[in-house]
Amino acid sequence: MSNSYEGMVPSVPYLKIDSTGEPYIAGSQCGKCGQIFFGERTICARCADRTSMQAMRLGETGKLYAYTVIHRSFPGVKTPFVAATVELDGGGVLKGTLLEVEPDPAKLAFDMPVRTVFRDSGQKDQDGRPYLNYYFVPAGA
Amino acid sequence: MATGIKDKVAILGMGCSKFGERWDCGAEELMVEAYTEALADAGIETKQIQAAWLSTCFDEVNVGKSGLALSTTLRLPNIPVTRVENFCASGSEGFRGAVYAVAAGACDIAVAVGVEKLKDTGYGGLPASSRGTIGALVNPNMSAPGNFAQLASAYRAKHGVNKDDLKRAIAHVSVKSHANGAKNPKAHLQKEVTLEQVMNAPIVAEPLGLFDCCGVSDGAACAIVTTPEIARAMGKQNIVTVKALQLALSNGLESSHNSWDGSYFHTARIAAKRAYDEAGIRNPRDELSMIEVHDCFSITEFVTMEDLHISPEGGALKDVLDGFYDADGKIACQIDGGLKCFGHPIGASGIRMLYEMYLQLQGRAGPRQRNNPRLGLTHNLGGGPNANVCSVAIIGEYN
Ligand SMILES: [Zn+2]
Repeated sequence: MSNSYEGMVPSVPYLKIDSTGEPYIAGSQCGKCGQIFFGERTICARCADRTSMQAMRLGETGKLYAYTVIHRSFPGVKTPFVAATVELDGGGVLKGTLLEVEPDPAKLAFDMPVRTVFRDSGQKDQDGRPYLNYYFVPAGA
Repeated sequence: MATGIKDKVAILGMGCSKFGERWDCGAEELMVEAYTEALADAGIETKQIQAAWLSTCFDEVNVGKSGLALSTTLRLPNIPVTRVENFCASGSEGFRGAVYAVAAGACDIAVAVGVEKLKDTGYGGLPASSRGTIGALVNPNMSAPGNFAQLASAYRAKHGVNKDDLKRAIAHVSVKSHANGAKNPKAHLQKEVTLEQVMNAPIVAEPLGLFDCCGVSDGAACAIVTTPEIARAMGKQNIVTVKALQLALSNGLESSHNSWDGSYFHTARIAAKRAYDEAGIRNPRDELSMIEVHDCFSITEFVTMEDLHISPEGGALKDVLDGFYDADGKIACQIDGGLKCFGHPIGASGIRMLYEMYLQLQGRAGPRQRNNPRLGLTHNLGGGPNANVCSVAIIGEYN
């Protein structure tokens, strides 16, 4: 399946595609205080250490921490959708869109298990290359 | 050893433009409208002003960079004019500059003017960042309502509050502000709304509906400051002085999450505590007469009642529903109508908040006048829950 991501452009800097063609969310861990961040960092925002940040892959499962259902957004953005904050297993917190669940607070439970998926965003860059994006879906989906 | 700002600076005069859809004028005229009122209130002439601060946020759609817009518009006598920007707390920053200049003894009289003209952008919210890759694909939830709405779910999770109960409480916040704004001829929105209207309004970002969000407006506000001694020598009565002026900025800890649960403002708790220490306030719940907070959204105001150490943690729901913060409550909140009814012309808002506290302290708030207020607090917030600039100022009677 790895080849299916070939030629796609990651939509944000912290979404990466490795040498085998597998996408992942890049993270960093501070060697001094242990704090985990999403994205690449050289300085720890928790303890300010500048010497021990290590690149890592963030986990692809987690729990729904907080959310809102967006009903009005910027021009061209399809609504409604669930904007979620997810606590990833193994550390790190990430915001993103939660798919494959009804955008209704009655269907959303705090701490419900979710997983990260990587999909074509449906939009293309100026050279016609599709953007690759990450989303969350319920763990069972 | 620092001694704080308390009673070192007096407000000599203030002014505030009519807020609203000001298609009839430009940002320069808004500045003049606020400044003219402040100048008359202070009883001075422009040539007596020795330093000025201009606060604006969106230089791209407003008056541009630098202090030139203020200097040329008011024909200031070639004095230092500084433009400041610190997100939505910009207005408080301008005021802080002027107050510090007087407190330092660098000048006798300084002025702060805040202005923003947003309606010309034609957009319903704040001017959106360009619809580039990150904005459109990944972070369509990074709209201001989307960002602040998550306070609600985090608060519910933390305190075990039922969704409907929280919705009713934040609706009460907006109903109260509209009732106050209806009595204010300078407010953008001067109509009362019912609880049913607020509860049933279209949802923007769950649980925030249309009436849980402040509007977009044009406006300007102005403060002229001096020392209490000079104010007294000028024959001023009912002198109002600055009791505290604090600013707390996020330092990255909220974003790293493990010490912050997303249900409150870390900075507001720190700024408020420092402000109470600076003002010599031991028990804010008993000592404050009124507060004017940054109600960009009803949920922001709601959690801020706890962050200011007035409602106990988890106790905002009861206080709000009990009417503790209503116009006739123990501590009136948004007695002028708040951002909810004034909208949020960014550079102006912090000074607009101080304007109402100043009027109230001088007994000049007309139909909104509270009985004998002594201390008023303003809370001006820039940025989102996880990274922000939070100003807390306290002004009160000088004795
Ligand atoms: Zn660290």
